[in-house]
Amino acid sequence: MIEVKFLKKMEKKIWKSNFKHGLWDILFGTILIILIPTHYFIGNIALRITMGHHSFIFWYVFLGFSCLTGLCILFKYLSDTLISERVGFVKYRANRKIILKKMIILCIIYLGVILLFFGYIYTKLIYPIMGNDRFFNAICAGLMIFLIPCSITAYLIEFKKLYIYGLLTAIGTLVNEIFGYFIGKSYPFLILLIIGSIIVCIGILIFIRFLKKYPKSV
Amino acid sequence: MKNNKDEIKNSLPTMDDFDKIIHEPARLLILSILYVLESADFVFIKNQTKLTDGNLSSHLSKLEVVEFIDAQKKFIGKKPITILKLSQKGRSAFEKYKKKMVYFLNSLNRR
Repeated sequence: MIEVKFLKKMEKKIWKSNFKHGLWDILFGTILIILIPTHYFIGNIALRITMGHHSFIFWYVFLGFSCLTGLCILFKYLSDTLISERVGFVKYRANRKIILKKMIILCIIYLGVILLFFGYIYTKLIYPIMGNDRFFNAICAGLMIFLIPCSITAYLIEFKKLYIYGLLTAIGTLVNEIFGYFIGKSYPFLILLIIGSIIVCIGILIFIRFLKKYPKSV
Repeated sequence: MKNNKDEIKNSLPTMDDFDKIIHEPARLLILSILYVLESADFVFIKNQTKLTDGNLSSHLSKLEVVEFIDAQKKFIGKKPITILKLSQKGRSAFEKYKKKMVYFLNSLNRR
């Protein structure tokens, strides 16, 4: 099985070179930062006008995912214009395309699961029992919004840093609540701003190094 | 004893059994990359193999002569790119080479 291992390693190495430009890190960090204005927009403006608790969660998730889609389009554009002309164009074989298709289907299904969880299961079934337990809420949000989707994506696309980012963010939401418990006042999503900024900074550093390593060919 | 030596000699492949076009390290690397991909352009192969432009071109032209790879010129915007793809002939030659090499290495392990 020497040949199979060698060629599989070669394919993996080539695939992993996709994540060496730092744009993925910037994308993930920006998503975390974008969650903050989304949260405040819904929380402070929209909720006061018309919405109840159900609509709040629905619009929060909806607006968050709309921003995510916009970011992904921007990412694709930057990837095509800045990255491909430096590292070259490549088409992967059918197995990789199948994995990517699976990932897109999983993302759509997961979006439905989140909407169902926060829109119905949490508000109708869990909330009446647990009440407004801040630690439970933080664990739910950390697991459902960050850790699980990040881990699934990291596993499917083999981007190992995403495991760490997902875990860091999930722990961050819990730490935020712990601080809030001891200080008396919590600063919602401040931790996401800090974590997001750190990840964006890491991404920018990697990106600058990438641009230096692969200058634009004339 | 003599019979045993003859057996070993006969079972091991000779250098003539290996395709010399593929056996050269740089070309083997290029073919391995193209084998695991559907297609890739010149810049991508250059970055992966760390070969110089001239060196890569000469290896690619050798592979093109024996019809192991297909090279297509395309334009993305105003920029010309060369898309490289392993041909059917190249794929089967590489698989043949792979089998022989595995057999050769495995036979060393058995001894």
